[in-house]
Amino acid sequence: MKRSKTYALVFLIMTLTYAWLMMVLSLMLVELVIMNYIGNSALRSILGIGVYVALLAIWYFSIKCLIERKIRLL
Amino acid sequence: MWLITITASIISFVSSYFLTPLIIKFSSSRGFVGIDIHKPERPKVPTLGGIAVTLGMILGALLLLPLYPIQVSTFLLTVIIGALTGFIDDFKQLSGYPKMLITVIASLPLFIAGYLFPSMIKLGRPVVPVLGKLRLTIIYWLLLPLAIAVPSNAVNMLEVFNGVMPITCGIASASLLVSSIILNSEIGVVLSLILLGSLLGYLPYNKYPAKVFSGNVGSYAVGAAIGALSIISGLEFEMIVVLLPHIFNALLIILSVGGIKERRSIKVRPIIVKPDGLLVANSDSRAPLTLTRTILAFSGPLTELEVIKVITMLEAWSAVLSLLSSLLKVTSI
Repeated sequence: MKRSKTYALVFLIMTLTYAWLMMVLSLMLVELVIMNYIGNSALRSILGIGVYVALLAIWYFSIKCLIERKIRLL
Repeated sequence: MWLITITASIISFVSSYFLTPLIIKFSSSRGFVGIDIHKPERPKVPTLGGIAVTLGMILGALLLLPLYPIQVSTFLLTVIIGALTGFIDDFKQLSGYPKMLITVIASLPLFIAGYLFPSMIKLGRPVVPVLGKLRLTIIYWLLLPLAIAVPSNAVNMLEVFNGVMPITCGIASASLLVSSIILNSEIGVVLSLILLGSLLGYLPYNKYPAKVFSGNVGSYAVGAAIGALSIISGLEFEMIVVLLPHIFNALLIILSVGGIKERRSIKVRPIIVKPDGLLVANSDSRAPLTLTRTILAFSGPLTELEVIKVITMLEAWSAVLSLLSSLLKVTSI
């Protein structure tokens, strides 16, 4: 396999693994922290959804930044 | 029971294998052809091959209808609505949002079956790795309308190279099959075997260099099938993980073009085909971000076949992560 192709593959495998870890982490944060320490209320739901959205945004924009920087160098 | 399941999978395989040449003949004679834009000679290729995949799934599933009437009829209805959306899009060229809306409607059979037969189709509290049953269930109900729309549109958006749809979705269904075995989900095994059989029968015709394109009908039906089988079998988390390359590609496109837009309305292409057949990432800042453009930005010029291999390996890695998720689920139950 070409070295350059391996480079692309490793970057994307790490991106997917990072996404998976973020999914597990966000679930743990919501289920173990928010659901245990905040009483049953609308605030709890909003906070929970907020955590999911925030971690998705962190994952997406950090990866997007790296991709755009690489494209600018083309 | 397993004998019937294996027979149904073989029927799916044989149906799509023998129906695809008929579809190729029909499409060629009626002028239903598309241009293979990733080859320098830009050959014309018959489309609508996805009809054979859809019919393969339907014929295989019909055999299992008496055994699992509720689950299989829900699966079939969802697949048919997905296929019809794609079929209409192949002829009428729907714009982004109406297409998304119709695929949201495709999740209605799941809602209705879940409401009427809660013991057979369990909605509401999915099991997630490490933690067991989800407690913040509002997120489930918010995402359920997208359970068919996301996989069907995401599969459609990544279907840009020869063989990518049957290869990636074949790996996804094989992974969901193993997850079903790990988690002891009988219906999951049954439905994923039907989908896998149909995709394997179609692969010889769609693999590089393609003799037929799936058309939107194929990608929407297969995406809907993956979504439906995951919800029916309680493999929601595994579905998201196994479709990560598709979802990542869809997110990149939607957020970089500023909304859900029809592929044909995007003027600046994300990749450029050089006269020698090599593909390169377009450096134009107006071009949308895609998975393929990312691959090419990091790797430099590649042939179409090399890009297909990279996408296949990414899908295989997602399947590994999905199986790991299933194993982590077992420890939490």
